[in-house]
This record gives sequence, structure tokens and C-alpha cells, in this order.
Amino acid sequence: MYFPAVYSVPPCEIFFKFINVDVSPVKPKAMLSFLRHTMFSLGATAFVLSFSSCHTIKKLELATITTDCIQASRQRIHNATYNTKIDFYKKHFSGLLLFKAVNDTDNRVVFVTETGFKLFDFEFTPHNFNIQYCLPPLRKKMILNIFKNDLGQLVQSDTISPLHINQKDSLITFTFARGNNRYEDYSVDSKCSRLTGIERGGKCLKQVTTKISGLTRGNFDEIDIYHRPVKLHISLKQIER
Amino acid sequence: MFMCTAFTAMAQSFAPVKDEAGTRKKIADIGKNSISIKADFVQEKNLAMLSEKITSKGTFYFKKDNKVRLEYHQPFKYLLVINDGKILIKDDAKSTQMDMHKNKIFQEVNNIIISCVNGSAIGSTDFDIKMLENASQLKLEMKPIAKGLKDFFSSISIIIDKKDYSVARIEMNEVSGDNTIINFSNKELNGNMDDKLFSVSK
Repeated sequence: MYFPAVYSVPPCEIFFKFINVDVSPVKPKAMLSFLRHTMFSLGATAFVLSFSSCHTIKKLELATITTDCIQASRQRIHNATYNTKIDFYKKHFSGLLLFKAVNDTDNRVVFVTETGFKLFDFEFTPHNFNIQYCLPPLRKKMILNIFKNDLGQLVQSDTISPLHINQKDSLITFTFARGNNRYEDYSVDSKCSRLTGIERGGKCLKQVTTKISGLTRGNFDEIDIYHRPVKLHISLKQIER
Repeated sequence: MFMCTAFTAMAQSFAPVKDEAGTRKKIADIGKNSISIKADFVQEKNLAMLSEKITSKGTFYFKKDNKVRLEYHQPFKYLLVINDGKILIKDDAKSTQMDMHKNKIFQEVNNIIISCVNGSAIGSTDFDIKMLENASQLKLEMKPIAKGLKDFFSSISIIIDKKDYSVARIEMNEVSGDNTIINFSNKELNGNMDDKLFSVSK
């Protein structure tokens, strides 16, 4: 109900927070020292990452993957209600997200406030995202894209083959190519019992991380979605219907 | 069996109020003298297209002139306090204070709740109001005339218990076909109520 308050933040403020730019004048000496320090840190990080990855990541062939593992990577929400919190910079919103499978392929996701006001109703089909209802202040391309991708990943499972499958530590990760150098990683636990997380973004840097825990009646218990470039955190906890 | 069902249906059905002017006056007078209300509530959100229902329970507090406290206990914890143009919202993670006048939707919701509870809805020019009754209850069928309300609600119904003229049920029917029904029970009218309940400080 108080979702529209997000628009009370001036767009320019959001933009500067988004790109995290300090526009105050910088002295050349301080700048050089900063760059040297940054380059060293990046180099060291890359070295550590490449070293560690050589030792812990194991490539797997699809043929060797069990059906259980593939099934776990395709787990999605069908019919469940979640107590939902959204933190965007210093703004905090809450409400209830209702997921409903309309048939084998199509799903509806509805967000209502605790007091019963519907903010949006989206339909997800295998190839389409349809807005059944959306409160006018939320009809912004950026906001709709966030919901489309964040909620879509929780209801739409892949029918295409993964680009590759890796085993790292106790996780088996299925990577899917989404075009334009975008990738999605779906990780399942080593027992192949459930999906534990989803990462979306470029090949190296994933901008959106989803952590999933627990599974009750075929639906995830808790989901946390973190957007790295912006301070956006969406948290879902399953509640009894 | 058929007779019994027919009798129950008749008892539930509403007909136009015989003494409309007298009933209007009664509701307005009782509303004016209503100092406080405490009641348990069950809220049902019905999503028509999905045949789904979300049910929540809590306690409602009202204190003259326009203080409202809604405590949701099940299936989630949520608190909404409205007092003197300020709103306090608390969930299990954070508490937020905001100015009601900056949020049009909140303003509308607050006006609807308060006008339903204190009886002032009967004199509202935002609605075309039809008054109905049966043996034990009154029903105000309110069709929105004001543009903002009309876009969202197709009608709002308030069911009032004749024995004490308190609100038993509010039905908010949306244009989309969805509705929200709030049923009140265990009502305590005009009891002492601490102002601290309506504090909007974080």
C-alpha cells in the first residue's frame, strides 16, 4: 500500500546512488595512490580466484548427471504464499506474494499489501510475461523488469539443455546462456535434493544472487534475492495459506 | 430441509429500509457518540480470477476522532497505526513512519475505514448510498461517485448490527472482481483505551 513512496526519492538521487559516484574534487596524488591500490587489489583477487578455481571446479557431462539432479535444478514455486519484504536503499516495503500455477506451464504471481490491496498481478507463460494488473505508479520499465526477472526465475523452469555443468565444493551448478553475454547459474546441493541458489549476470560477475533454503510441499521455504549494483534486497518467507 | 434453507435465506436477505431518515439520524448520532471501539477481525482477500483467498486475523482499535490501530497476528505480524495524519508501520523486520498526506492511497483507505467505523460514511458525498435492512442488521451499499475511488472500487458494503449499531462487516469490492471482506467480532464499545496504543513514534 505504501509502495508508491519509492517515487518520493528524486530520480537523480537514485541515479547517483546507483552508480555510486562521488563527485567531489580529487587531488591527483591521491588519485594515483588510489589507482595503484585498486590495481593491486584487483590483480591479487584475480590471482587468488584463478588459483582457487583450478582446484575446486570440476566439469561434469550431462550424460553423467542423475535425473534427481536435473529435477532439483528445475524445482520452482507452484502454489504458495510468501510474506515478502523489499528493501531498496533506505526504503522498506512489505506485503504478500501469492504464487499460483494456472496449469502445467502458466503461473500467476500476485502481490497484495497486508491490508488487502493488490499492487500487481503478473502472468508467466513459457515465452511471455503478461501484466494482468499493475498499480499505475509501479508501471515503470525498470521496476517491471526487476519483477519479471526475479519472479520469473522462481516459476519458470528451463526446457533447454545447460551450456555446462560444474561441481564446486558441495554444489552442482547448471549454467544456461541467455544471449547478449548473459548467463544464469542454477545450483543444487550435492545430494541433488533441492535447488539452493540462482545467479544471474555476465560470465564472471553475477549481478543478481538468489539464495534459497528449505522445501515444504514442493515450494521453497525462504528466498533472498540480492541485486549487487543497487541496494535492493527482496526477501520471501513461506507462510501457511 | 428446503423450508429450513429458504427460511435462512429470507433471514439473511436485505430489503430497503422503511424509515430511511430515522435510520440515517440514528447511525449519525451513534457515530458521533462513539468514543472507542476494540474488536477482533478476520480479513479475507479474495482473488476472483485465481479462485484464491488470503485470510489474516488481528485486533482493530479505534479512538475518536480519527485514531486507528490495526494489529495483524496471523499468519504474519504487522502493525498499522494512523494518528493525526501520521502513519506507523511495523513488520517483523522494520518500523517505518510516514506522512499520510504524501500517500494518496493511504489517505483513501484511512478515510474509508474511519468513515465506516464512526458512521460518517452515511453523509459522504463521495458515494451513492442505498440503505437496506433485515431483522438484525442494516446494510449500507455504497457506490463510489468520486473519480479516484470509482477507478478502484465498484462498491463498498457496510453491515451494521442493529442491537448496538456497530459495524459487523465491511466488504470492499474492486473493479477487477477481487474483494476484501473484514468481519468484526468480540466488540468492546466505548471502553477505556490508552492513547499509547496510537503512538506513531518508531
